[in-house]
Amino acid sequence: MDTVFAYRQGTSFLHKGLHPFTKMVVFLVIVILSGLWLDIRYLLPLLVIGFILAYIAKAPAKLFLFIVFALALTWFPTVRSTIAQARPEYFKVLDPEWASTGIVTVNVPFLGLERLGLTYGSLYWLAGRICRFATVVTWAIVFLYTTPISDIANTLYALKTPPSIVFVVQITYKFIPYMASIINQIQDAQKLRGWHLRTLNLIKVFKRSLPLANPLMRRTAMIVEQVTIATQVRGFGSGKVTPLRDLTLSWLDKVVIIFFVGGLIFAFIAMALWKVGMI
Amino acid sequence: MKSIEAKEFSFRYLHQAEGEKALSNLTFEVEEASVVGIIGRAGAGKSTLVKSLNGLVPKVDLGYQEGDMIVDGLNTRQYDVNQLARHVGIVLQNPEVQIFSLTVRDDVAFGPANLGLPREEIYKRVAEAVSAAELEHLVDRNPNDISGGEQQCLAIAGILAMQPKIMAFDEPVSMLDPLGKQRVMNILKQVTRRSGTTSITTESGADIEAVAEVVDRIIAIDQGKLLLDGDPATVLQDDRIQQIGVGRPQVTELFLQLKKKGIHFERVPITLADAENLLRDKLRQLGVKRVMRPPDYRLQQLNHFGPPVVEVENIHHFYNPQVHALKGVSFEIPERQIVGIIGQNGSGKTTLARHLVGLLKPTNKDSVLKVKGVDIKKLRLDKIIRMINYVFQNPDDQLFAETIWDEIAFAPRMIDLPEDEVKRLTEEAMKVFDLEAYKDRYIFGLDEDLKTYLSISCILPLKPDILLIDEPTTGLDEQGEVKMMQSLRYLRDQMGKTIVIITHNMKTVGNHCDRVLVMSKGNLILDGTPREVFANEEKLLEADILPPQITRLGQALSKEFGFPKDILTVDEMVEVLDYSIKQSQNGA
Repeated sequence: MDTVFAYRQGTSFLHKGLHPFTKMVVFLVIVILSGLWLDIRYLLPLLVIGFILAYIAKAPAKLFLFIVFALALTWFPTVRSTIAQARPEYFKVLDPEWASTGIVTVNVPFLGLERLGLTYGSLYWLAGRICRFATVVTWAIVFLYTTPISDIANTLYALKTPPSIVFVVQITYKFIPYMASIINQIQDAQKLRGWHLRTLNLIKVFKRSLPLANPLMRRTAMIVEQVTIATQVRGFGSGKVTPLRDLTLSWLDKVVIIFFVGGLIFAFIAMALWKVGMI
Repeated sequence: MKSIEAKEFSFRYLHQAEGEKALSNLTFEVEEASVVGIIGRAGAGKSTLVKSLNGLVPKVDLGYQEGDMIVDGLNTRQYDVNQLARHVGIVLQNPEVQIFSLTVRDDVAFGPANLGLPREEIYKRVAEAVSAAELEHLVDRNPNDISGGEQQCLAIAGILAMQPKIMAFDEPVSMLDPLGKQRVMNILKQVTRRSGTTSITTESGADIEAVAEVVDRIIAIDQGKLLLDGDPATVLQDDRIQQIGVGRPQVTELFLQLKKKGIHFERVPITLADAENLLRDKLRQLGVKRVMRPPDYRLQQLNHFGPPVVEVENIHHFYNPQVHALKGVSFEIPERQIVGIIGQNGSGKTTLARHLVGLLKPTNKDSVLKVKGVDIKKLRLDKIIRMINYVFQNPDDQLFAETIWDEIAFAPRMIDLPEDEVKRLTEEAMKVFDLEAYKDRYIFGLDEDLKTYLSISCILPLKPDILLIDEPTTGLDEQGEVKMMQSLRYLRDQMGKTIVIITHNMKTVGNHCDRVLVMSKGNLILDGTPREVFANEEKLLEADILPPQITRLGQALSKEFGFPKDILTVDEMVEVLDYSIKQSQNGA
């Protein structure tokens, strides 16, 4: 059965053409840029490029539902932050007068909150926030679907990363899809017994989460125990680990790394000097 | 030279009460380069014993140890698990949790790399281990894309590459298809012979035939205590083996039964090849020319079932464009039939079962999927589960409540039945597997057999007419298996249920199923009675299936003596041989 967030073998340029180290650098640069910029005009091109790469990597389209799901889960802090962006002094690049033009606003004269509500500026900020999140997820999908964990682990070893850290990365990467399939299995097993969550009663919701939570905890404990055993008997933790491959980069890898790292440095300078990426 | 020495070794887990012990006062020695089978029913202490060999017990699975375990000259008390890893390798039941890398080659290299060996040495060891495990053609493949048997061979190669002096296998074939079992056990045997490694393998009973083929000594344990220790033939003939529920290889059972009928052999075999030779010699000696069934022998007929209750036509399922899991499967199942679905891991059995209960939908539009005449593709799951239901293989996927009673009462409560109806249905479900005496037992810490019975009982209050059960006999000893199949027959005969089981246990299929569906690579390649299916050697090989041992014995001798190729049980074989020998003695 197909599993989510798992590497899938492929022949695309992203699978075969770039060294895992290069892909790690590119992903890291994208994460930093997405954290740095707030302006959707800069974030949107990153997102579009991410989508194109995901298409090339043949990442399943349904995976992008994760973006919607995660945004739905975080709706409360998102709304709270959005309505707090109504004051003109928050905007350094956009015209403060335009940005603070109210759509629906209220004045709250206590707790130092002052003006709250929806303005053109707060909607612009919200669009940037959604775009930032979608960009990071999209590039993460591209990275995960095109880079085998063994390559990542070897790269980390070659970079002299402590074995315990590499192993945590390796195990997390391997077992996220495995655990996802177990969660699906538990949910299906309970659905076959008539289980559902269709109720607005919070006490019932809590009670009905137990048929999922209990087996999941038990299975997780079992898997952790088995993985611990399996790693210990394979000598993990005995001492120095031998990396299986050297960190040898092609000219293309070097060009890509220079381009992205250079771009990141330029983005920092542009932000400091000309407020590029800020709103 | 001694490879393992257990000296009055006892162990109690932290959660066990004082006085209880997982292992009790075990004293034995194992010679270098031998293959030892540790047998005993589920919960007898086999896994604990294996874990004690490299210090996992008591250093990872915490508890209290008495006595000593000396492995390769080292007292396990004095070394860490990862230090002992160079001396003792362990292969677990589930290959999935033992594979960490994305290519076969890298995974085999994982252990030696952890030991910090030079790269040249790592690749030399990888090449040797891969060759010993017969995985050369798979070195660049993703372990997720190879069969279960190959995955287990990969786990063995991963341990071999660390060059331990002792290899311990904890029920290594219980999750595999029949050819996968054979392949893994052959590798185990060859590795031991070639490298002089000492091998220990555990077994609960279902795969006793596979184990008997490779071991040169058997230690039987029961409730943590050593019960029997000796050469395999002596141990397997001992009546106490039956009492502890492990069972014997079918060929051993056959020869013991023939002995009772007055047909004596120079020894009782434990392997198929030995049985074949002994029986051939005996039949020649007695002048038997042709082996046949008695004329009045009643063969099972396929004509006492009701109208079709499951209709499947042209089901296709794609998980993604590359994975075509079902390729136009079609069949019907009549009411009150017990059907076995068999096939190698990944052949499409589970995908098919998930379609039958509406958890998956066919990816083609022109398919038919009807249960009791109702198109379930258009039906909501809460309606489907009251017509047809499915019990997953692992009871731990569903058990969550505090007591057995609460667990069974969960389903009728979820569909909002009144409490007196819940009580009635729960009591009725408990009776099927005799769970009444355990109704207040806590779920945590239940024995495997009770968990399996409970997981099936849990869906009975929903009153589905058709039950699909994934691997109902896995983890059960022989007695447990008999109880399981008797209960399923009760559900069929007394409650009118239609039963579909998915299984790797060919003895169960041969003994208990009315009909068998054989899946291979997403196709239904055989459909018939167990006799018809197991007689089709060619098609079965295509699906990586081996018939029960007793059937294979008949097939091996069919050319010379005309044995029927479809003998399914030991009792049937005894009857056939007894009749044929008497006929020959009477000059017929």
